[in-house]
Amino acid sequence: MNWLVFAFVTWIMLGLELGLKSSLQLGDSSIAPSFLAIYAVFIATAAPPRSSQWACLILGALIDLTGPVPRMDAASSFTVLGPNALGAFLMCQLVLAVRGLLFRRNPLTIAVLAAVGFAIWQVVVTAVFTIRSFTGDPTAWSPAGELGARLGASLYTGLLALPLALILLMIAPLFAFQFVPSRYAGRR
Amino acid sequence: MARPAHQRTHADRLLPAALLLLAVISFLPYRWLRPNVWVGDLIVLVSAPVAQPLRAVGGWLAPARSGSAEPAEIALLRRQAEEYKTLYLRALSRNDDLLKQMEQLRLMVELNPSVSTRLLYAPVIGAGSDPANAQLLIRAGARQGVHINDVVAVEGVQLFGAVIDSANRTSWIRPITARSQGYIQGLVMIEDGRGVTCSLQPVGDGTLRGDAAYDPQDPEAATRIAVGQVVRLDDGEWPASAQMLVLGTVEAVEPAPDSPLRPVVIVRPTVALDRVTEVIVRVSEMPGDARSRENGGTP
Repeated sequence: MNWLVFAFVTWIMLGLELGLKSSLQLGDSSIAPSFLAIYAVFIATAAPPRSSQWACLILGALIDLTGPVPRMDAASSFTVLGPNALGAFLMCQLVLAVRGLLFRRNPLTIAVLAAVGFAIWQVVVTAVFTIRSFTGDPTAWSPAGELGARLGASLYTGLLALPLALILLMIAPLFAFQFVPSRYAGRR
Repeated sequence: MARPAHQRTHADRLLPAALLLLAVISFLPYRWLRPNVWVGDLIVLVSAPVAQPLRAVGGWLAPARSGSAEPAEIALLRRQAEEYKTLYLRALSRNDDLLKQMEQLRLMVELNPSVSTRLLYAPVIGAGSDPANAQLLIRAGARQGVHINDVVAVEGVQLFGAVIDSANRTSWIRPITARSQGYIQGLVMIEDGRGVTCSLQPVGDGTLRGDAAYDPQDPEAATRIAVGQVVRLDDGEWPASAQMLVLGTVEAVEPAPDSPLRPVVIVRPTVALDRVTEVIVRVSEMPGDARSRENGGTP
């Protein structure tokens, strides 16, 4: 995989995530799609397994680092590195497990995987923050409400993935993905 | 099929270590996570050239202003009228405070100088990646004199919230509608410029909700609260420069299930706070700020 192209597209996707996400919220709810999640699914469907895993970890870490959590006991916030990175990694493992059975160059495949994968990703994030809230984090964390909103966001992400996947599949040759199944990798 | 152990590369060994490290960091106490904020601010700053224009496009697609559209001239006049009304009410409130102070401290030669603030326009360059938290990042930081707890307003008199974190060139601001905000004391402005105290709490859907207080001197006051009335901040925990700024308008009034004399008020800010593209920071002047501005601190 061409990591330079990956870095450039990541920069664009992060800009979309931070700049456009709040404008795409559904009404007054906190349900909004994730551009970085769609990008992670796209990478996981096409890149070699090890590259996919590292790329998803990086994309998850970017979401972690750009999403500070507000504290209730003081006018400040803190940033937890890990929940989204671990969630993205689990999502990547899911995609790696099933991608051999799917038409990977179909936008519909990426859309479905984005919805299902991002849901699993958000379950991990919700679980981590719920455990943290039990251990005394001064946050306004409501596990049921958060999980509902995040699963809604997963469906929304799946919908947005349809048009975005078309663009990503068009620029896929630039990434120079060379997927070599692991059973052949050992013979080289 | 997995590769035998002796064929594993450094990258193969590094991945489990990275996962373990992330799992450990995920559960570290929040007091130890300060460096993450610095790294995050740097990443947001790097992405700003893409995020800021897209945010402007997003603001155009989904405008922040709620309610019906009206001609620009009328909107401008209405805003100016609101600004002067705010100044008038603040002056009244300030007069009351000063009279009390003079009564109590008449032996003192000097009263403490009034709070001095400087207005600073700051563009919003990004939002937290988790919309549930609804925090925004603005392009103004400690170099421009922005400090934690500085008051942030929108369109002149609408209170946005406060600065919760300030880096050198950027700051994170939290809206009053964020669930982590906690209780805010407000005044529902009923007729004759009088106010009914209410204790409001963010609900999470962009509104504030809370009970109106029962006033034994005027038991009927709470019953005169109506939809459309303006609600202003009157909370001693907020800085003086934030008092009497608009929290929003009354969207609905519901009877309290347990107390008919204390109606429940639902207040919605006059703009959608999570979609603003520019804010005004009321910077509290602190010693040393003037020197830092001379060193090139402009947004």
